[in-house]
Order: sequence, then structure tokens, then C-alpha cells
Amino acid sequence: MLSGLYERFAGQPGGSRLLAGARLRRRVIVVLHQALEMSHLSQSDLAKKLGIRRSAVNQVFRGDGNVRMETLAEYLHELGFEALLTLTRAGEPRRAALEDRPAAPMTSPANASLAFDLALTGQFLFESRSATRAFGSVAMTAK
Amino acid sequence: LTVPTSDCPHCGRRALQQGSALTVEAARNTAGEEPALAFLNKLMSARRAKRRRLAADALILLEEWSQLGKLEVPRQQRHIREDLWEIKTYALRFPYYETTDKTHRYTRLTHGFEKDIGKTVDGKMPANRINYGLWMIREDRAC
Repeated sequence: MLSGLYERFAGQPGGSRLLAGARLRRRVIVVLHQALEMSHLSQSDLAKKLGIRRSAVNQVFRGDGNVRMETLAEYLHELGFEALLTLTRAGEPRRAALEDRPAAPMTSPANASLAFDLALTGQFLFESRSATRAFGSVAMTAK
Repeated sequence: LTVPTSDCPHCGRRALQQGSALTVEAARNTAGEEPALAFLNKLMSARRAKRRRLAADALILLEEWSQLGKLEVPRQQRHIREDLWEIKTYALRFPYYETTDKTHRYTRLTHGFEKDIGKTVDGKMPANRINYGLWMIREDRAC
């Protein structure tokens, strides 16, 4: 793959951090849609289960604005799933895309404290300070 | 901004993203303008982080599309009219059309624009945007 706009943007101040955030936001949206599809529920069904307006659910599924971790967990739980975070080195997802292979996760025990740090922030997933050093992908697990 | 976008060796068009499934290019008109590239460049160099975040979202979307040949959230991609299709994030829309050669699939973004505020992601694309996209297809094919 040739370098292009992505590399140009990543080279700007703060560019790679914005791309890491965008990638994580994207994974969250994809996971939500996958969970909805696998649950065979509609957004209206989910809104009823959560006791909120359909438009609020739709806003989350569109990726409009920041999704709180608690909100993500609640939505996935009502759909019958939970989310897991996996860490990988900053820049690894792009390298993997360029080489047409899956991104390699970090699995050594030395990374456990970083994963814990990321989980403890309690802030938006993609605005965590830890996410500037390494950023994770989101996977689902069924209840 | 030292890394140039990649040019197609055959037609000279800019490859915005090149993946194993397809190459995303910017369509150009007979005056040599590339509205999609200009739109992305403007977002990427915006002073406000919020707008640069939109650019990051678009670049991640284009990467996914070029790798998979489709979007993982199917409703973010749809047919508009004739050869015109669109992909979209929650805030941006990119009309495009497809072309292939013997070995590869190319998609050419005719232009890009921000979604009207207050409209849903499933809302209709404004007629002037559709007409412009169709005009750009004719122009690009004439190049």
C-alpha cells in the first residue's frame, strides 16, 4: 500500500492521537452494530429495554458524540454481550492494515499495568491519556 | 505536510487510500480540480480539533473500506442514484462511484460534505449534492 492522506495526517501535531481516537470510536460503533445484529433486536427494542428514547439509542449507534463506557456496557449487556479491551502498540493497527494482516495484540504480563490503567480512567475510552501511548481494540463476549 | 498523496501510475489520480480490496481515489473534473481531496485537506488542516477529528473519522472509514471492500456497518453505505453511491460517518458524506480494471477495484469520491445538522443519518442527500456528484462522474470519466 502506498502512503497517502493517512500518513500525512498522522505526521501533523496530534494527528496520530486523533487517528487512534477515531479508530477506537470506529471499533465501538462496529461492535455495537454487530451486537445488535446478533441479538436480532431492533434499536426500538433496545430503547424499550433501556427505558430511553429511540432517538437516544440511534444517536449512540450513529457514533454521534462521545459514548460513555457505562453507556456502552449497558447497551451491550441488554443485547446479551460484554466488551473486552485489547491493547496493541500505537501505530500497530495502521502497520497491520498496510501489511494486510490482523493487528498483533500485546499479551505479555508486563503490559497488564497499562491495561489496568486504561480500564481505570473511567473517562471516554478514546480520550484516555493511556490511549496516547497505546490504544486498544474492542471485542465482545456473550453473556 | 511533507508526505504526498499517492498518484495512480496509470491515470495520475490521487489514491487517498489503497487497500487489498480496493483503492479509493479522488475524482477530478476537466479543470483538474479534486473536490473530495480539497474537502479532506480542509478538514485535516482545520484549526479546531473538532473538525480535525472529523477528518480522522473519515480516514479510518476509508482505511476500513479499502481493506474490506465494504463497511462493517452496512447502513453507512448506500446507493443514491444511477452510478452514484455514498459512504458516510455520523457527520460527513462522501458520494462516489466505482470503476474497475482487469486487476483492481477503484472507487472515486466525487466530493465530500458535512451532513446537515438535525437530519438523521438515514436522511436524504440534498438534490444539489446528488446533481453535483452525477456531474462529477461525467467530468471524471471525460478526463
